[in-house]
Amino acid sequence: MRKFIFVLVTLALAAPLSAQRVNLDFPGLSAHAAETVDVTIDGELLQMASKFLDRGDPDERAARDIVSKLEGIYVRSYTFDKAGEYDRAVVDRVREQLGPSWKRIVTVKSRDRENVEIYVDTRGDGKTVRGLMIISAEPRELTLVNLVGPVDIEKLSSLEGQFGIPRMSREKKEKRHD
Amino acid sequence: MNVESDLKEALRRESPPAGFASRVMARLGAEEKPRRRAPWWRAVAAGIVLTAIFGGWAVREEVRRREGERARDEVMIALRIAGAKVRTAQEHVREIGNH
Repeated sequence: MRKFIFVLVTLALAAPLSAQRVNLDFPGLSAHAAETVDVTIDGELLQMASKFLDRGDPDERAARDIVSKLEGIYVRSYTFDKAGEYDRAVVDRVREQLGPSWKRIVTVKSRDRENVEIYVDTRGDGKTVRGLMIISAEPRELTLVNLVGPVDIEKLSSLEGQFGIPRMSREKKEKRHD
Repeated sequence: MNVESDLKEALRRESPPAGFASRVMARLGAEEKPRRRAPWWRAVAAGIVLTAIFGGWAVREEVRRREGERARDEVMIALRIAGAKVRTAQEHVREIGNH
């Protein structure tokens, strides 16, 4: 019985320190998108991916360092053929999920470029980053990134840009033209 | 001198008793057990089992390798997208700072 109570107390204390996963799945978004990137990697798969990251490659070495501390990586990125093809309320629905432990560290609003909001989850001591949420909304593109676990933002920004993204993993939809 | 004569006596050449060689050969023949050869199908069955075990292991490793490489590619895509967005925000902040 004592052991049971000890386990319960430990779990109750540990649970708030575990970063929050944000629901990024909204029905209908991918159906309208011309191009979709959908990445969900957590648990064992994340550990397996970490083993396959090449230490010789500086980019993959940095990724390995980031991944070693993470619990989950969730990315949804949609590109649309026309502006305004997605419901902007989706962004609000993501924001609504972020509890009081989430702090907005950057907001970029631009009329002609992308709007980016970056939030960090600082539950626990209020200083350590235990999760990251990026919302990037453009007229023709919506990108949502949720990293669960401690994140080194500087290291993340040092990773190579989108020129290094392998094309094979991107789903491209052929739109029907009637 | 006694030792020398004793040694000579001990090492004296002596002929084997009559029929010694034939008795030894007879005993050797009696002790030799008939050898049973394993039937050919046992070797074939062992080969099939080994091939199945090794083949199964190789297929499993290949599936695991492909899953790992796919997961690695997805991790790199996800982190590069995240990195690009963070950089965009940093550039905007720098631009504002410069102004």
